[in-house]
Amino acid sequence: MIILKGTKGKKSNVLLISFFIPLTLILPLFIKSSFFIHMLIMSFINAILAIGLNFILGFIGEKSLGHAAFYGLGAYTTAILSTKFNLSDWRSLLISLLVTAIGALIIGFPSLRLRGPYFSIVTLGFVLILQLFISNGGVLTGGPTGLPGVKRLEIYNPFNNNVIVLSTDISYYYLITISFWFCFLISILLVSSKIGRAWTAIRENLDLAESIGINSFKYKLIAFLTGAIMAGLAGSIYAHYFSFVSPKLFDTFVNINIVTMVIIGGEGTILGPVIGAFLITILPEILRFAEELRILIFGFILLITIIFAPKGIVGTITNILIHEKER
Amino acid sequence: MRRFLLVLLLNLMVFLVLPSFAENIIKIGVIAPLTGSQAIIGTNVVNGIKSAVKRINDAGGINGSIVKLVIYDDRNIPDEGVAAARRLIYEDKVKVIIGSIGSSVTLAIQQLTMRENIFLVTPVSMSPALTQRGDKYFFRVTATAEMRQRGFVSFVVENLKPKTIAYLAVNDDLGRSEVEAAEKFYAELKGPTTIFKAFFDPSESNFISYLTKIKVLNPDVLFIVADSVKAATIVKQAKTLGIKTTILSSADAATAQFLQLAGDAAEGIYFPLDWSPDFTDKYSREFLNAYKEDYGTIPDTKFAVQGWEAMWIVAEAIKKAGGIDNPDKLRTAFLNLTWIGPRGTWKFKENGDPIGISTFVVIVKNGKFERVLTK
Amino acid sequence: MLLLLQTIVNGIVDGLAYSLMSSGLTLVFGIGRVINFAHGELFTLGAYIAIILVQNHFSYLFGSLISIILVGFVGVIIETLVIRRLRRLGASIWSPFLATLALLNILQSLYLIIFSPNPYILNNPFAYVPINIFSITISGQDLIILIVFLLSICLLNWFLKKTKYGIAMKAISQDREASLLMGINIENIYKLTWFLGAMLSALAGILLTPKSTVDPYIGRVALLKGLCVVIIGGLGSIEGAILGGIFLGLTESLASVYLLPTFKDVFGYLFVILILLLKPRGILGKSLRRG
Repeated sequence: MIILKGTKGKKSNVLLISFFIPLTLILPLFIKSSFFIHMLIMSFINAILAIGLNFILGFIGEKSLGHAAFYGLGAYTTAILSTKFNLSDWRSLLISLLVTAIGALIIGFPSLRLRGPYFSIVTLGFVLILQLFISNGGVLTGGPTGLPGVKRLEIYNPFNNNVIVLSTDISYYYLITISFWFCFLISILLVSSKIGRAWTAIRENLDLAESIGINSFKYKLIAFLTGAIMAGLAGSIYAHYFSFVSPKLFDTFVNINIVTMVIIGGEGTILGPVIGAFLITILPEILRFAEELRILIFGFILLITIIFAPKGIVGTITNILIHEKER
Repeated sequence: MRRFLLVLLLNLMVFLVLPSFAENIIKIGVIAPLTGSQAIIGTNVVNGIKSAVKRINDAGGINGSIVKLVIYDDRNIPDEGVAAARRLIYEDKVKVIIGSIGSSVTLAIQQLTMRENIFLVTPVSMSPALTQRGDKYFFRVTATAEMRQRGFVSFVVENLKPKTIAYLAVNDDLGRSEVEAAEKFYAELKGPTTIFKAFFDPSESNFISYLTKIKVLNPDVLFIVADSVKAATIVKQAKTLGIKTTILSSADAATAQFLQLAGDAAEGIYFPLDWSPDFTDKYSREFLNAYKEDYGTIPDTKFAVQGWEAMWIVAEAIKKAGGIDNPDKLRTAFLNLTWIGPRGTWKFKENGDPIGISTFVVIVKNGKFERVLTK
Repeated sequence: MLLLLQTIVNGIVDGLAYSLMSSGLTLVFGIGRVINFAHGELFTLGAYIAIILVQNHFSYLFGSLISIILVGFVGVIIETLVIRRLRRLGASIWSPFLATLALLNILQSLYLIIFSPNPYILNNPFAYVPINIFSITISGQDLIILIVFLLSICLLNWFLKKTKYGIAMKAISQDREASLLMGINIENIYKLTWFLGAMLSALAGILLTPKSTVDPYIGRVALLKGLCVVIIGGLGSIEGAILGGIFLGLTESLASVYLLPTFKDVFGYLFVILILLLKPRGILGKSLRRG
């Protein structure tokens, strides 16, 4: 299974991962710029979102446009628990993930029976409804303005019965990096397992897969649910890091951004969403020198990539390498 | 691909190596929506700020130091506002930020500025939450909803004596805070009862169904809260439906743009007004002349004056404090200053809100705003 | 009673507007098999071009006609330069979706740069004139919408059923392979589809924007409502678009008058989801076959 360009087989994959993991962990020692750390944190948050979306969008092949729903649910649950109930530790994190999972089940059960554009539009519809409810949620959700003052994440230190409050940017960098690697490894495990094979079968030919006994609904639900929970995790960390949530988290723009990350990076690949996430997060900031033209240039880059590299960056590179090897 | 990487690398190097600013330049950060749905307001505010800076620098700067603006677009998205703020604080090393417009963005930025003891001044954001968080270095250079509504509500109760009121407001911090303030004061004065209240999505442009219900309920007054463009659409559609109820509007729509878009549907509508380009006092004329000189026209919304005043007040405070390095001194300067601008005399309270900007009531007669003389 | 009647009339009027918004979308999907996410931007483009022409002393009527044709050509350009390329590459059915999304961003940014965020008005003298029939009020523009829309639908119907090209379009929407075998020039038909689809999107923009204002962001609502309608009515069916639009309009109108006005849009979306659960293909939808 190719997850990193040019490599095949488990050994070299493991080698490469064991290089990158410590690299990302010691990176803060070399980066002096707080702004750059922020960019990395946002990139990792987006990478988790993209990896999660990739399960249903890339591997199953159903283009969900509702991923932001779970991101927002995770973020808002954490925010509400922190500001209204004074809960800001592993318990609020767990509850946030639980709420996100329940949301995924509620949205998933009716939607996953649909296919193609119908599935996409209904997932979009759910996000819009959620956004409207949150905007009109009064004091509980902070209404259209949002909820400020989300407290920092507290970690209980069992060794000295104390509570560590994660308050610096660097601490969130580590939090999000560890979470990212966790999600990344889970995605590798899932894809290389029976579940991943079932996903591929469903994507290639649903009817054929069903005829050999694969319960497509069950596997779709697994993809949807796993992705949603990852999004919820990203949302929770977001809430603690920014100390603020607003209904803009559910915006169509956010949804489309995440979808773009997955497709540009390479849907149905493991590394693709990660690369896409980093690119889409950092690119607009680099383009700030052309403030008004930012989105225009962004759109053009997107268009060119789709026309000339429709399988995404990783997909196209993998294709090139396969063809070269076959020569 | 290689060139892209090179550009990326160069940009990153610039971030890491950026030198701190020279001695006689004062950098002020500005965050506002220059694209996106609030772009009209954002660009107007920034224009006002830029005009102010030009005049400040022409007069020798602040205590001899030239003011330099670093402006970033936030697209009215909180995440972008925070990214811009981080860039301003960590890369550009500013100590004072003017921004933003939408309260969500300002609130998000505030979480960061509070932690880093950076001065934040908003020229537009209305949300009460901004001054309820105990942020010592936050000041609001604009009237809050309560300030705008208090006098207006008294006027309505005493002069129009309505028994019932309907609310139609945009669902954002402006709409929510104005309706909340109005309801509070009407209740205090034992004014009209609310018989209809609806908040519409900021992207809405079809108000017929709301107006149909309002027409049937026939309230004595209808209070609408929306920007100039939406308010004009609402009153035009109301006129088409034949609604004869007296309309009250929030101050944001009291603009030449509203009059132009609404045409004769604007007749008879009451507004609380803190400023309009028709003002002829010397402070307003100074602003209008400057704006005309810089942009070739007088502003068609009042948001430009908000940017202008915010910048001047910040400059005043910096002058009094002797620089931007000590936020506590800056805070003291803010609390002690009195500044007169087109909208009146500015002073600030401990929590950062301004004290009593005067508003008076106007009504539209023959396509112009006319001041209503009260008893 | 009067309230109910007025509410229903409002709903039907709004519904026709929504049907208008979705007709371009459904045509392009039904035959071209692509959901054109840039539909909202073509809607906006139609309005902007008409405004420029009217400002330069064209009449509303002529300005509109020219605008529609010009936007039609823009549609052809999109199909030729972008969509067709992706088809040739054999890319997944979803690459065009992302491509049209990219176009959305590009066009919207262009509008912002060229026209600034300030609102423009596409004026015609009848737009706000109230028309009272038995105490029910509609605006002059509503009447114009009704007339023009019905005319367009009749024209489109005639075209699809009676002309060589129209029949070819229907053939392709039903069975692409067979159509190819029958010697239909599929590339030309796709171009024609996009031409007509873009024209319809622009027509919607021209007819609907006199009721409010024009800025770079009005396309978003057109796209969202358009998508809702095609779901309710069924992707690929013009009759479905009309029915779907009216259903959506009625739902929103009734809900906002008799239930909670603030949640008007929510009721609309909930209705869409309900339809999706009960009748996934929409009321009159075509099935989505592979190929």
